[in-house]
Amino acid sequence: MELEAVGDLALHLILTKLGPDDVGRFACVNRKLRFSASDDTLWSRFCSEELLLSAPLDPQGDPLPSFKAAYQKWREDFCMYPWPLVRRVKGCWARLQGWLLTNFPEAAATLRKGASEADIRELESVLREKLPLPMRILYRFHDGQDFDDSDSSYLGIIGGYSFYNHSVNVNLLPLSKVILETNHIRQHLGLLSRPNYIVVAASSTSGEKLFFLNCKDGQLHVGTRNLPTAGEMMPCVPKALISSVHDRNADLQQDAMLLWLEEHGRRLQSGMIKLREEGGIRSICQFPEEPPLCSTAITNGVHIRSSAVFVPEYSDLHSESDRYLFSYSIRMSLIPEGCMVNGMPCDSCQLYLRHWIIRANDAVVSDVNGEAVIGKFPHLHSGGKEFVYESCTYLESPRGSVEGAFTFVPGRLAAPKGGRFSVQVAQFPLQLPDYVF
Amino acid sequence: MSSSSSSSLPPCPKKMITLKSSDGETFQIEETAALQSKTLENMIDENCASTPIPLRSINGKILAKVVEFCNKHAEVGVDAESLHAWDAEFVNVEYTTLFDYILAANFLEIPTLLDLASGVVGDMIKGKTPDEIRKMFNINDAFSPEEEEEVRRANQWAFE
Repeated sequence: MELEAVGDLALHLILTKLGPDDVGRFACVNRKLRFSASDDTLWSRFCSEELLLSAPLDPQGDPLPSFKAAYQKWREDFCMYPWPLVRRVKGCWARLQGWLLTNFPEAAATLRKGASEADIRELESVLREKLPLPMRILYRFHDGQDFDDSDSSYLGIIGGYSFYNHSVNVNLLPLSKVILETNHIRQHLGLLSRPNYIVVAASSTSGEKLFFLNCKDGQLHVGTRNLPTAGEMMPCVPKALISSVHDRNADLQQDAMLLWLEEHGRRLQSGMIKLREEGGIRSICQFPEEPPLCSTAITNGVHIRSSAVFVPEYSDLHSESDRYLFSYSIRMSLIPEGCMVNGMPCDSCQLYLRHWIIRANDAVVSDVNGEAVIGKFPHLHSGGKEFVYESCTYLESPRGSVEGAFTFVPGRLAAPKGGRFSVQVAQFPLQLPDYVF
Repeated sequence: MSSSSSSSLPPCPKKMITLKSSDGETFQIEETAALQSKTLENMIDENCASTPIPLRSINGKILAKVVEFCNKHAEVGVDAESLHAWDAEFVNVEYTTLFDYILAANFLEIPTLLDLASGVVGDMIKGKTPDEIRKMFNINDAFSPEEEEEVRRANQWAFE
């Protein structure tokens, strides 16, 4: 009994027990086995399992006649990289792009086609850097975002936040801009003494926020308030997770860029962060939307959601008191049933006073009372739109919390329909995060 | 269960069917065990199993093992772990016998045996080079040098 005599169906069954590499080598045995190994149902499964492809598409998204051809093209095009890493990067992009296409298609449209190996070599030669492997593969899939249109400054796939007159929205730079920005920074910010750093992501709004990849150790950094004067930066990803960024033969290669984008994808997919629309402009908002980072309280019908985000670009790691800046977002609304004060229902209420208790670690550092919030006296209507505002506070420690209360009157301040009542703002954390965005 | 009931019916004898191998040997198998084969199940359903069923593509040596496999897998109260150990021993045979199992399991449509035997052959192939596969399965015909070069080029990624 020879292997060939087993019959096509049985051979097929044996082949279904193998992975693509084994089937590829099996095809090299003889004509008969090559024929068996060309069964496209096998390759359809490999394309689906390894590349999440439901149609035979090459890496550029162009159709090919068979799944076998598609799978082989992918393998050939990425033959210079460890295949498990290619699959992981593909998965990372698939998650991000899937979320964007469903929720934020105008931002998905800004993702550029993949960079070529020649594009990457060009960058390496101009900047005299060697890119980490995961970073290279990330760019092979998408060469950053296109930002030719000035209307698109809020389409950054990382997103951002705004408070007072500060607003940031971070996008991924195409390689051409990585070169431009890195050369610019090297010339103007005196970073020549710190080689290996290249600019990979930046805010496209008026607020400055720059992310740097250290090509040598694979860590991602973000500039602080002291970036222009002292080149100060802070890491954005837990250092312990970064490994083997240049070693093709290692078991696990992960640089901060890949870890950062994977974490971002998880946050988007879990609903931890969401899109926000403000003045007709939609953008990805970094204020957390889910517990435990986002707190919720309903008092007398007034619903308050609160969360904070760390603001690296205004932090100063050398300052005693103003070391870490946190911006917080307060979202208030009146439930459809209206507010209930001393048994009296009312379909609107207006904010009068605020009371904040801010803690650094567990010690109270601020206990303030005042009128209004950011100079406004929001008037809430039952079932109406959320009133949202942002403010900020410095903290000397990387960990703390905010809690407090608002004083409202039923009806309007000018014509109250009853006595004042207090509304709780449940405690929410201020925390230097593991991943900085 | 069926034989000890208090009903007035006489104890029901175990229903047996007869299989006949390509070399004329006959084997008795309980119908409940035979139901693991979709092919036999269909014949039982269509009342074609009252006479010995000729299996012209399966010889006596292999059919004996297939019947043994079906009997074991029809046993009541065998825990998964010991069945797994029994299976491992069952397929601890020459590859030519595994191919016979695959063919028999395919013809008789016994998914558990098919899956087991093809899995073992798959494991033998995993991680091997074409030369190692040829040697292991005693395959003598190869590609022409031109074909060899072409097929190697097309599958180069599988060798890295």
